[in-house]
Amino acid sequence: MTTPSDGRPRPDDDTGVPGVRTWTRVYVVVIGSFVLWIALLSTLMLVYS
Amino acid sequence: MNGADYAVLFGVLLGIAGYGMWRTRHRRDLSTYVKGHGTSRWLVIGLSVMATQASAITFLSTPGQGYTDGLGFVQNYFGAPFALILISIVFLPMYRRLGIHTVYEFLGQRFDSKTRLLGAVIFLVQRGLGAGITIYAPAIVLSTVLGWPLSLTIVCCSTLVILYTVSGGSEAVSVTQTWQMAIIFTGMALAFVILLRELPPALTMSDTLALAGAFRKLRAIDFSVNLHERYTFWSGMLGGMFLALSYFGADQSQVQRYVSGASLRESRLGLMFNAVWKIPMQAGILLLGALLFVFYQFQAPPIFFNTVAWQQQASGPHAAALQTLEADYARTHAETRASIDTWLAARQRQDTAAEAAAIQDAQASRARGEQLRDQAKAILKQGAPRLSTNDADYVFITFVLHQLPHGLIGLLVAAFLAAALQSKSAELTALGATTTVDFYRHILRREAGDEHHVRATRWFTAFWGIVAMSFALFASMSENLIQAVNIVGSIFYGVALGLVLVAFFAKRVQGTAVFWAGVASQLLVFVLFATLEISYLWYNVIGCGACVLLSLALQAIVDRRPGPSSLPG
Repeated sequence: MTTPSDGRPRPDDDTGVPGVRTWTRVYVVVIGSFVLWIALLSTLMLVYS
Repeated sequence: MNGADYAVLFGVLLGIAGYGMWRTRHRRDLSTYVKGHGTSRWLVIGLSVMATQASAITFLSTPGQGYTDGLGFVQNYFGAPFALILISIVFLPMYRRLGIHTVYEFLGQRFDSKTRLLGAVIFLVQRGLGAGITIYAPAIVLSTVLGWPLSLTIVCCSTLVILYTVSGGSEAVSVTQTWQMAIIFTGMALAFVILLRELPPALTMSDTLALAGAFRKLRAIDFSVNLHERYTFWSGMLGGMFLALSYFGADQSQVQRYVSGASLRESRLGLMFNAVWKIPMQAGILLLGALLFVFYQFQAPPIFFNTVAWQQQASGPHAAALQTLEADYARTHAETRASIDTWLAARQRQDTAAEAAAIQDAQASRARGEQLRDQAKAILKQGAPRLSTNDADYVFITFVLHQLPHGLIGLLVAAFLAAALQSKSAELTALGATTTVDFYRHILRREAGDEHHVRATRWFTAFWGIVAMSFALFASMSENLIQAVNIVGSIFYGVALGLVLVAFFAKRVQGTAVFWAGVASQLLVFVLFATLEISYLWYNVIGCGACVLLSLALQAIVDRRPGPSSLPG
C-alpha cells in the first residue's frame, strides 16, 4: 500500500478486484462478510431455537 | 458399495494421483519441491490453503459434530478472518521478501540457531501428532466401507499417502488440489440435496429447521462469558483468532501453500478468499450434520454408528446384553418418532400447546435413547478396552453408504479419500521440508547440493508418514477427530505464534531471551492443560501471551546485566 518515489503504484498495490481497488477496502469487505455471517447465524438461531 | 462405486472411486483417485505425479515428474531442486513453482494464482492458492485445512476430517467428522452438538463448533472459526487479515498485512510480505523455505528459517535469521530449532521442534511434534490423528479419517471410511479392521486400513491409507507425497512434493499437492476440492464440494452438495429429499414429504424446510432447533442443534452462537464452555463467541473470537494466527502464520504446512503465489497480490487474495468463505463452509457442513440428526429421527439409526465394531462385539460374550439394548433402543426411537409425528401434526394445525407437549415427549424419549446408547458403549468398552466409544465420526459415512445411490457413494468415498490425500500430503511435505531445511541441511549437510536435499526431503517425508501411521495405530481417542486435531494444535500453537510475534514486533528481544521464554511457556501450557478444565482454545492465548511477556521480561533482565555477555544470541 506504499508507493515508490516516482508516484506510480507497485504492481502488488492494485488488488485487481473490480470496485475494490485498495487493500484497506478488501479488508473492510472481509470484515463486512464476517458481520453478515454472524447476523445470519444469529437469525437462524433466534428464529428456530 | 458395488462395481459402479468402485469404478468411480478408483477412477477418481488414480486420475488425481496420476495427474499430480505426471505434472511434477521433472522437479529436482529443493525450492520447487518444497514451495512449488511460485506461479500459483489466487484461486489456486485460496483452494490450496482451504484444502490443506479442510482434511477428510472436516468432511467426515464435522457433520458428526453437527449431529451430536449442533452448530456451536462454528464459533471455533470466528477469529480466522481477523487472523488472515493480520497475516496478509504483516506476515506474508515479510515471508515473501526473505524468500525463506520454512517459517523457522525466518526465526533463525531474526534470532539464532537454537530458536530456529525450537520453533521447528514445536512444529514437528504437534504436526506429527496431528498427522497421526488425521490418518484416522480415511481409515474410518475404508474400514466401514470394506469391513476391514481399522489397523489394516490405517496401514493401507498411510502407504498410499506416503507414495503420493514422496513422488511429487508440494507441487503435486498444489496442482491437484483444485480438482480435489471440486470433487469434494460436488460430493458434499449432492449429499446435502439427497438428504433433504430423503426427509418425509410433509416436512417443510421450516419444519426441519424447527425440529433441529427444538433439539438444540441450531445454537450457533453462545455469548456467555464462561471459560469452561468449550465454544463461545468470545473463546472463538480471541482463542480462535490466536489458533488461526498460529496455524496460518506459523505452521509450515500452511505457509508453504501461500508463499508459492505468483505475486504478493495473488497470495493475499488467496488468503482473503479463505477469510470470507471459511465460516460459511464450516457452518454449511455443521448444518448438514444437524439435518442428519433430523433425518435420523424419521429413519431408525443404529444404536452405535461404528457398525463394524458393533458387529464384532455383538457376536462375542456380551451378545445377549447388546441385543437387548438394541431392541430397547429401536422401541425408544419408535416412541420419539411417534411424538415427532404428533408435533408435526400440531404444528400444521398451529396448535402451539400440543406442539410444545409433543416436543417435550420427543425430547424425553430421545434422552432415554441416549441413556441406552451410553449403556451399550459401556458394554462395548468392556469387550474392547481400546475401542473409542465416540461414534460421531461414523454418522455421515453411515448415511452415505445406506442412503445415497450407487455411483454417488463411490464419488463421496473418493471425495473423503481425496481430502485425506491432499491434507496429509501437505502435512507430510511440510514435516519433511522442515526436517531437511531446519535440521539436516542446517546442522549436518550444509555443503550438499539441491538434488541431495530433495532426496533427503523425500526420505524424511516417508519417515514422518511412518511416524503418523504408528501413532494412529497405537493411539486411542476419546474425542471426535475434528476436536482432537484442534486440541493438539492448541497445546503447541500458542508458543509457536509467540515466537513469530516476538520476531516481528519486539525488535529489542534477542535469541536467548525468546528461546527460554518459548521453553518456559510450552512447559506452562503442558502444566495448565493437565490441571485446568478450560476451553482448549484459551491455551492459544495463554501460550502466545506467556511467550511474548516472558521474552520481554527476560530481555529486560539480560539488558540490565553488565558486561559483554549482556547481548547474547
